[in-house]
Amino acid sequence: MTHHPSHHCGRFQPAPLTRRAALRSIGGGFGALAFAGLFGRTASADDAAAMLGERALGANHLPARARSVIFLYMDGGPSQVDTFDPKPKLIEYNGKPFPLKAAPTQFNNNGNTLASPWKFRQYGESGLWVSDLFPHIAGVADDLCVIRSMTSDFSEHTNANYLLHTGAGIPGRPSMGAWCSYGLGDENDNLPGFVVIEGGLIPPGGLDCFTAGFLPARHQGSVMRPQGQAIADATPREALDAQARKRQLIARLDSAFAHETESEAVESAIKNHELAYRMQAAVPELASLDGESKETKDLYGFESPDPHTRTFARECCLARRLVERGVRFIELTCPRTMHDRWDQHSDLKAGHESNAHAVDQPIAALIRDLKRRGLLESTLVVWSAEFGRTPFAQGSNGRDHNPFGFTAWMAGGGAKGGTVIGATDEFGYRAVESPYRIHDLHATMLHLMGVDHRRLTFRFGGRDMRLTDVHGNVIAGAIG
Amino acid sequence: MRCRLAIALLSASTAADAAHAVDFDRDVRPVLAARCFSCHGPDADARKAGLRFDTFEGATAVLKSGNRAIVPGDPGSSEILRRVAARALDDRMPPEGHEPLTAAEIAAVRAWIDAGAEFTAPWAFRSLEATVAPSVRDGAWPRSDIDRFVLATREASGLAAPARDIDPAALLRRASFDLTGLPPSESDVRAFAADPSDANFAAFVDRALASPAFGERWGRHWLDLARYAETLAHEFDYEIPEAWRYRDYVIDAFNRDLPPARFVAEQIAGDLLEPRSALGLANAAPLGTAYWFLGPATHAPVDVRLDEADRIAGSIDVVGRSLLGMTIACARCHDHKFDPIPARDFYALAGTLRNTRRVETFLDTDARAATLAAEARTALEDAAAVAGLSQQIRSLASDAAPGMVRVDDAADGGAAWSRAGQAFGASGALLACAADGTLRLAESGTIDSARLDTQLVGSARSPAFGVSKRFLHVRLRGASSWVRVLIDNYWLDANNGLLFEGMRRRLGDADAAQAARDPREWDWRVETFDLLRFPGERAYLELVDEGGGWVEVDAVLASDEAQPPASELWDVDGTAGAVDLIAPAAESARAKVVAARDALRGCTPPIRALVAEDSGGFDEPVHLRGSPRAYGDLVPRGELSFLAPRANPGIVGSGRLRLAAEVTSPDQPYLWRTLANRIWLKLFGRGIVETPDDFGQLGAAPWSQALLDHLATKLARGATFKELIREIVLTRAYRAAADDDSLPPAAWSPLAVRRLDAEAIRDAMLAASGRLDATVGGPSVAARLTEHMQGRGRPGHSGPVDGAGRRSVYIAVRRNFLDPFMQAFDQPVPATTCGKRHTSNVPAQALALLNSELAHEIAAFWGKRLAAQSERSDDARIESMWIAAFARAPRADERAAASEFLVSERAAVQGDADRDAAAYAALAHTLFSTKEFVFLR
Repeated sequence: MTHHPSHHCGRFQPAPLTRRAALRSIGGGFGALAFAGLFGRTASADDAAAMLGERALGANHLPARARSVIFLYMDGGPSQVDTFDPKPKLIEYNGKPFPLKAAPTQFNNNGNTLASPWKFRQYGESGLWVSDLFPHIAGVADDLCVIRSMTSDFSEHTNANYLLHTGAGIPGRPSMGAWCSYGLGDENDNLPGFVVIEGGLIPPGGLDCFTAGFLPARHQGSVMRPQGQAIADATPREALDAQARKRQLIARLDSAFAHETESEAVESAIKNHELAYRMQAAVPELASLDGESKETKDLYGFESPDPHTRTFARECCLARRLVERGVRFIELTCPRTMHDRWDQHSDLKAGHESNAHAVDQPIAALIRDLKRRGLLESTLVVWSAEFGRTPFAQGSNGRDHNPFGFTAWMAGGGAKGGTVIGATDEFGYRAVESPYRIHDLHATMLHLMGVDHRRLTFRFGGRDMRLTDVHGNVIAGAIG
Repeated sequence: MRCRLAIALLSASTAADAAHAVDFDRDVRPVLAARCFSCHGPDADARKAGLRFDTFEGATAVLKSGNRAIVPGDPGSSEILRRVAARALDDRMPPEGHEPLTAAEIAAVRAWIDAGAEFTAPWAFRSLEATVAPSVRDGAWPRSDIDRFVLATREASGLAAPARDIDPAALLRRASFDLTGLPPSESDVRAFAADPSDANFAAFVDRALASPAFGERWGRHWLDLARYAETLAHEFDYEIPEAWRYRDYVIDAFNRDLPPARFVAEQIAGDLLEPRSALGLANAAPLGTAYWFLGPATHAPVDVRLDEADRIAGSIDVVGRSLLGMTIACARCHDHKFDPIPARDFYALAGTLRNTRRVETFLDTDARAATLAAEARTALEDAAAVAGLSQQIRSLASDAAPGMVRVDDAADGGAAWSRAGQAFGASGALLACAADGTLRLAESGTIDSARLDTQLVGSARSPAFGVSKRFLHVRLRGASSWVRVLIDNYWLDANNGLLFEGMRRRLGDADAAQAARDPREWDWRVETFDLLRFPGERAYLELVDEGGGWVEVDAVLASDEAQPPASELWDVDGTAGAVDLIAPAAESARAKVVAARDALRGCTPPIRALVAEDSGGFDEPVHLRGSPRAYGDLVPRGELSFLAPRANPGIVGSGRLRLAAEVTSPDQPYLWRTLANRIWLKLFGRGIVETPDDFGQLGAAPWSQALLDHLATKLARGATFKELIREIVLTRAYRAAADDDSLPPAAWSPLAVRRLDAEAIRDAMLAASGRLDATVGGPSVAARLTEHMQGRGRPGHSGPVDGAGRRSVYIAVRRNFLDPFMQAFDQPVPATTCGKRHTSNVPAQALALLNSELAHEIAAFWGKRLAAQSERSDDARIESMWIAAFARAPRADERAAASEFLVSERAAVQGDADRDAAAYAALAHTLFSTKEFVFLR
């Protein structure tokens, strides 16, 4: 049972490295670029070998500013000119033909210029502009680093979503959370490295947005629900004593098999089996929000009259709890409001209001809560959609998809608060000053996590694949 | 001075290494490729200083500086050695920001230059070299040539043959899962335990190879390569219609042991090959071509040309890696960085695919149908001859209408149109058969689904044409059928019309008055399509008659006017209308028409199927930097430079037929090596080349090219999959027990203990419990949806927990709703070719076995079944369970432990529940969670 697998087996059959053996062969002192987490403390050797390769690349890694990422995915595409990118010109041209040349749109039903129905005001010491859609988020304006010059390559939700999540506009590539889990591992044995808290809306493109793609499957996003069974198969379907009796017999049979086979793979599967019991215990503890104080619950909006605010409040609070437990990458999806996602092809006012109301208070609370617990500086909060919306109307009162210029923001985790980066044209249509691509956003996120995006690679299909493909520049102005 | 010192130090290490001769393939090319090729390699656009290290000429050429990077035999004059060892960062290569070469790497390059700097083609690009099996010192161990090859790799490293074989029970279980993906039956286990002779093992292997389960196992391996799925991912995860027929086709091909060359040719061009009857079809070969179209796709692309280019790139990635082991898709934006694959090769295949359309066709189930349709057509022509009719010449409308373009006039009855089913088979005949069996004068020169009968089904597609005018006017008549314009082979308007509104039109059902009139009496009308958003794109027209309706197209005009041309400009033959011309002399011809028509009506109807079809024959230009809007030179389609460059390729249609012939040629090494390696990998867990989908520079080299070429040559010379698999499974190597030694990479080592893959684990649970339904083929069982599987396109209906007992290969694969149990055990995400699955080992797997509803439900089934066998003792039932789960009888301590467990479980049952069923279910569930259940010794 102690025989050490020969190195040729590294790419052969399971013959996994136990954690102990792996630590031994890596040598001491590996810090941030650790071996993968729960779904991987006891990785099999073929995966471990790949990871050891990564570690070698990671020798030059940057100082990590953030330990965890919370990605607030704003499904469908909030409008930049109605949220964080005020454009007085739109008021002047409201109802008149849009004066710039418009590219083909998804619905091909372009109307006139459409002014924002919301007022913008300046907040905080930084004087950051925020529209009346986000009164709570406005209160943490000085923590936000607003990038007004984001662009995407696609006008379609799904291509744009795959790009936002995986760096490629096609399904099947590893999600950014999977890359972080793969590259940085996890700090908790009992939880996955990449968790998706599903508020009711899985993004267009489906669970493929959270796939591990060609990376080992353990890096796939584990979907967690704020209600009901939190994580699939983590809850026993039988009484604990019944499970305990089985556990005893399994251990007995496994022990004989392990002795007979002297296989590291078998040994490691036995350990994973024990770990699984611990996860069963850890997940309910994590998912229970009962222990949160009333003050905290009120901060997030647990008792809000809006059921969607209540849902997102639980998601944000869970996200904080996951950060506290060392989960590397947490993505939140939006609740299913009356107006579905942020995708207001019509009825912009009602739709954006209901979506904003669902997330505004919880997001502000998340930032405040992280901050007062001393976690914000090591937690990168990213707010983004797959694209923005057109400054001209779709039909009479909607807006179509706009990949040519939109807004994302970051907070905490080394991002520079109270900052505005880049600019769109005077109508908010195209990024004209410092335009950035999704790959640049990814490069910046990885940079703050202490990873050089060019060196986080996995060989597949004849290439050393990266989250940023062959692109990506760190957005220097966003680094605090 | 410092520089010189460094070189002196390096020279010392060179001397130390000189003991073993430098090998270009092993020691030098990988260094040049990994460290130099990205700026000095095959990619002309990225090349710096005009220097390339992938060819002898390039590496030894005189540079601008007057130096030569490599001077064969003269390391001192070779600039490369000075630069890689330079201390000054602005002088050193690779440049700042890249790791310098190691001393050992520099020493290897130096030794190679010293020895003459000989370049050889990369191993994968060399011809197959069939060698006789090497002689080995240990003559007692080998049973076959293959054994001699593998033993030789060990002896070369000073190692002996593996010390022992695995025990018979382990061998039987291993072979059973490897060949069928299922555990051996209880009777097989008992018989083999009683007499584990070689003859009995060979007989078992032959039974396994002959069982339908073989195709289900090995077909699934192929499906990994074809990125098989039944939905398209993206927003609504639309279904890929009839995808399951491809799965059945693959399983059938493996079961009937279709020759590999034929099987692969059918993937590429099954629609163009000699017909082959199978699966209840007159010709099953076209089913193979669904291989091209199993990738994901999105609706409503704003840029339809880019969308097509992306889909094509996905297919090229699959064909390159699955069939050739080449990463051709890397050459989309530039020449390949590491392998001799220019961007031209990518666009040669892209040209092939742009001329290949994805169609939901009709395939005949009745072998008589085609003959009967041909007879009917001949009889119609005979009748026309008797009646003295001859083809009329029509004046072309474009002559009379300036600004018009005649896209297609079907004047020859649509001879250039592709057709499927029998409905359009008599197009162009001068007479038509009316419902009452009389013959009527037809509009000459049309493509028509009602010439013979309005009940037949069929489809017809025009050749592809360029969109040169905004409007397309189609003069037609008909009812209850479809007419459609497809742009750049975009077809998802059938699922979602957004941005392609009106491209697919239903011709309405006939009212009673219309239905009473013969089709020849109907008025013509014009359908106009607005192609405003698609100037310069390629399009084609599709007509579909699903039976009970009909459609007849007279001509297709393009113009910039929304108003269709006046009717007199369309046609001047003036013969439309109903005139019964038939003289009594034609009566026998008429009777033949009617007889054939009536017989056709009696044929079993065709099925729908997803297949490829040629649509045109034009070459595609290179897309500069991968942009479908920036064109370089035209590339002859289908002509891969490393396969068969020809000055005058003379390629017909899409070039798929030629491509199929070249890929499957016995003289080409690529296909045979990839296939041989894939078979070895699936049987031994480790490939001879460990990167089965990449034989290029970034992939691995074979640990024994002699063995690889030995196996590949067998396939090239006609060995079938079953023959090769059988030969390997009967080797000594296959039954050798794992070594404890740490072996060098070039030495073969026996199979280690390995985990079963996802399908085998689930199928083993079904088989052990007795729940397995061994039905072969058919539409997929609906996927089971858990509450964690959400999102748009979620089916309204969730499948049964246990998949109705069917094997895993028959459970629907929905891209946006992949089965979490299968995912936990590394079933690949169906994005592109996956020749080697991950074998992860994680707690999620234990959780899936402990807590999934699947494991509990199957265990409950098994428990009930055992409880019903109350005439048997606990011990007898325990023994059966062990044999079912582990293919061996329990040891005494295991019998005792299981028996105690049953006692305590019975005692724990509350209330009226069936104590035996609950206790046995608990034991069954326990066995599923043991490591022995999911691992193969």
